[in-house]
Amino acid sequence: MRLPRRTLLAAAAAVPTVAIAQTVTGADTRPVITIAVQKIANSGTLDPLREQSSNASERWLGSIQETLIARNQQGSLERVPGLATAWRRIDDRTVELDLRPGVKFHNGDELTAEDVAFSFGPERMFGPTLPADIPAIAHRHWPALDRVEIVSKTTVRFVNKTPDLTMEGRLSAGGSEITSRRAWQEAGDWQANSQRITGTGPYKLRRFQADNSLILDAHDEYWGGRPPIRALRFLEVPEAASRIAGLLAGEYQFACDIPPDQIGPIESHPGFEVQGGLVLNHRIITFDEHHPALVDPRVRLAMAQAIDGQSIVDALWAGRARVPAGLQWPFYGDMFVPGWTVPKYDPDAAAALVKAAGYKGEPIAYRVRNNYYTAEIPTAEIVAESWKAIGLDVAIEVKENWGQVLDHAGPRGVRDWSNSAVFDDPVSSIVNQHGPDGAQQQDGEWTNAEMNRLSVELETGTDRARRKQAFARMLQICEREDPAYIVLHQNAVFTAKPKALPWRQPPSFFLDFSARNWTA
Amino acid sequence: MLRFIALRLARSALTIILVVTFAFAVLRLSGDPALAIMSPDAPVEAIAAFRHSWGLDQPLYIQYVRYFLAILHGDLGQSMRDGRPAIDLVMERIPATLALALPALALKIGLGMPAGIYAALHRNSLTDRLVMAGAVAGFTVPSFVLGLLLVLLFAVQLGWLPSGGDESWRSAILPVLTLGLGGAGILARFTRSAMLEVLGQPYIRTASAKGVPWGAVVRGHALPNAAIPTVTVIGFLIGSLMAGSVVVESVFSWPGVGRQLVVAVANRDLAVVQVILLMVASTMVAANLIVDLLYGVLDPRLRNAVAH
Amino acid sequence: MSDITMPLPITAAPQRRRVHMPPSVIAALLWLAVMLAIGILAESLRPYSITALDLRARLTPPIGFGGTMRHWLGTDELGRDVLSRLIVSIRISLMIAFGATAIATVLGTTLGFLAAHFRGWVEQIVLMLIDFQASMPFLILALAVLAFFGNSLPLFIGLMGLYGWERHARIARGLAIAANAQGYAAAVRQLGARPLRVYLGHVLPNIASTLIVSATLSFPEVVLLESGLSFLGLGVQPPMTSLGNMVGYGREYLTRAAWILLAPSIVIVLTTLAVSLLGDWLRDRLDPTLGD
Repeated sequence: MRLPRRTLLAAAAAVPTVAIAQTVTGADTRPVITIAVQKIANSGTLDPLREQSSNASERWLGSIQETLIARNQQGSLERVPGLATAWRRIDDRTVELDLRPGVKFHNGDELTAEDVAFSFGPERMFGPTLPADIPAIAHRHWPALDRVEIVSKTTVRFVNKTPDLTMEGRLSAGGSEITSRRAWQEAGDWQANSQRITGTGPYKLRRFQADNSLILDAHDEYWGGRPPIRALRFLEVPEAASRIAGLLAGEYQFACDIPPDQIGPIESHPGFEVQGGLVLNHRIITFDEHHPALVDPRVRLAMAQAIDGQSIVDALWAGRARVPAGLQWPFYGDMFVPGWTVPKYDPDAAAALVKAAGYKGEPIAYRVRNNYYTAEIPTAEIVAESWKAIGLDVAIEVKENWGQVLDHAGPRGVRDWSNSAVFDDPVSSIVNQHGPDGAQQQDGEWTNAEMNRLSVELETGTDRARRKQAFARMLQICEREDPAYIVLHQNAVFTAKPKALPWRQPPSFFLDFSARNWTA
Repeated sequence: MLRFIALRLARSALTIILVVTFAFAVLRLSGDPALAIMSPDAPVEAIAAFRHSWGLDQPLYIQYVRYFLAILHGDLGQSMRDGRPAIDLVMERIPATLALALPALALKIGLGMPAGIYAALHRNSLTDRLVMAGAVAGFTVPSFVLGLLLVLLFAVQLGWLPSGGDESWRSAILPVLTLGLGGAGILARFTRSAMLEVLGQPYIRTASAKGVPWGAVVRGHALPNAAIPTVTVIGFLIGSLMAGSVVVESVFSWPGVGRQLVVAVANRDLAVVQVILLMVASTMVAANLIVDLLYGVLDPRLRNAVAH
Repeated sequence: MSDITMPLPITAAPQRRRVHMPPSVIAALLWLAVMLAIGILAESLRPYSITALDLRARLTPPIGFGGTMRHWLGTDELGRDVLSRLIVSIRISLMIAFGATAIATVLGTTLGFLAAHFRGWVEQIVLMLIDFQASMPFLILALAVLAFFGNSLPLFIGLMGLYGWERHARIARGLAIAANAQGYAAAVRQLGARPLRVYLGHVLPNIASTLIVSATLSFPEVVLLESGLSFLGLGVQPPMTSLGNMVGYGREYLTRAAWILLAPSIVIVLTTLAVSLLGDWLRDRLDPTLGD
């Protein structure tokens, strides 16, 4: 196949650009990088709390604002110093952090404890002058934060009302970004600030046009080293084919959200590669246990056993996703329950369970969105066939929005969903979504008394061993005894780029363009 | 004349009210803006707080009455996504859509009409068949397929034009082509059909028999008479520009109103959708009025008819 | 849109002519006959079920491009046979297009006649409905149907029937008003004919040619609209399939497995061409004012 001239030039051009940037010249010879993404921000704002640090905003948020405790994007997301150089526990509910000296905000101010306290204070996070959903989301991130004490200009203390072993995790998670007090107050209210964003990150906001583009300039005084790129241009390109076309034509240097089936065609062009990897997100299918056919937990377990997750991963994800060990990630560190798996693929056993449960042939609705999740429709069609093969009458219903998916009318059966690890503790995922305050129970799809007791233990307990036991028991309940959901596979995200650009995809949605991640 | 315009305005106002009410009912009854904007992964209490702050937990008829009264006061509402006034959001994007729609309309008329007239004048010749085949090819290929094929050819393979975005005037070439070629085909067919009907009229044969040069017959008799149904079709094409924009703006990531409508509908962002609908409805009404007045200009027999 | 009536061409008595079909029209008729046959016999013709997955045979090319006899037109992203899906899609799309065109033509012509006959406020209401239809983006109508009625084919056909009825209504109304002013209509009425007879027996045949052109234009537009809706996620929903649905979902594989999108696209183009050629020929035959 004839290689487009533009493509060769594009791939070749990247190399000398990077080389030139490193020579000492008067002019700024750093490259300008254009990134084509599917969506820049779901909410049309730049506020991490309104955006809830969505997949979309996670791509660029870390380039602008940072957290006190960072995650090693060049490693496995373990905790590393960020805006705080050290931290220590004072007691079960207090964490003290030393702030990094000499950190400059985009507006020139130096980071002090006042900015930290402000970022977690009433004007920015918890107060009544904010739109009502902002404090609600903030309270989810920090359910029991009492206050942020300014111990000195460079020392802060986070004090919780109740004992909480996960505070360090929360400090490293989305929603805990630090903003400049002066910048916020100068802009005015939340409304004005939602279209601006000031932080300490390697790039600062130049211009944001919702649903269109986000342009960032290098923040040369970044504490982590002079950014290697002069300007970042995030462009919203909804069609995957258009993103890929623009990449191959040399207009974009990065094309994000690449469907797995396009990896081969892109890599068949010499000079281009697709980087990708697993992210902290699992695709799941949830049950409404009130459906007459789903009341019996054996039917639900059978549905889990009927699905060959590995064949889905191999067929639709080019083998680059993974069937995980239940609803957990190695990211949990100590809290990871070893030896746990999803139910083994066994269609015969599943069919037997369905018969034993006395399934009467009631049709089960399987509500899905039109590829809201990557490959959602093909996955649903494979899964539906698997269920038909064990004797269930399943009908796919494609819904146009979430309100219709969750609509109580028309017996709800099963539906698609996903679950993320907001920080490195099961409280942030399984309890967050399937616990007593989680959407599944609040929506009336499922409930379990023991699960709810264990959730409270996990949220307030301080004995690590007991918490881990509680989590192991939760997995047992939610995935075997009284199934609440089926874990299909861990998600992966793919980014295409010219091979010549010295960039590596972090194991997350974040596109790290700091000097740390741009090593020739 | 005045009575005519007054009647038209009254009917237009009623139509617009109907459009607004229908859209309100459909958007409210078929989805939840809170879930769409905040996503189902959001905390339940945040979704409830969001609903409450926008009055979405009120009974439907109360929401409608409040909404309607606000419009009457000139308050077209705010976007539920970022709180900015809906009218500002739409106004920002209109120039981009016009930058595609107007050249596309010019392309449709400038390419379609001459092609149709030429085909009619050379009926049943090879040229006629070729032009008609080309016209059919133009409007039978789905616009997003045409757009993607153009991108693959001109952006990826040849590298002559950008594949998307709105950086320079060159970025508009492929979207305008995609938007305009289909309509050019439709217009060509209709123009040919209208010309053929007119050319078969006795007065054409009479003029020709009298010795008037064929060119003058065409210019003086055929074209003006064929103009009327052709103008009608052009009116239809203006209406279809909006629909075409939706697809083309998505394929070429062009920041226009069409794409904005799709996003706003998906988010059930009522205020933004309604502003766009009001705009579209008003444009249709204005276009209709202009076309009817044009009829009066083009056909002297209809000038009296205008008065009822 | 238009309140103004259009002058009707002067009609002469239709003449009998020997039927002469140019080869292109014969080819068009043949193609349409084949499409109709496929549409009717779809369930017996297709080699596989449209949902028969084969994950180990994904995206295999058609015969002649590296494929096997097992799948003449290759397979799609789930290993389903493209030929089988194409056959069933033709059936579904033909049903949609015929049904929708019929509904749009009958609905539009009836409302147009009603407006022309009764004038007054009936006409104003019809004109208002026409304006409403023209102003409401079809996106919202399609969304409403999908939301309230789900993926039901009869209702989807009804929805598509709403597309374009306003064109037929305007044309019918305009021409009917003009026809009413013509001598022959008055004469027939003076002879005692009831209005229905006047419209069906005298006015309709005279405007048939314009309506036919409009209908032949509707047919491909419905198919294209269907693919546009699939592009937006609002068309025929899986697991049901249609030409528009195949094109919409196949666009992602344009570079890697073009046959998924090209097969239905070629069918759309050829069928539309055939309908247009046939329509043009019919119109030429029916319009008595056109000399040879």
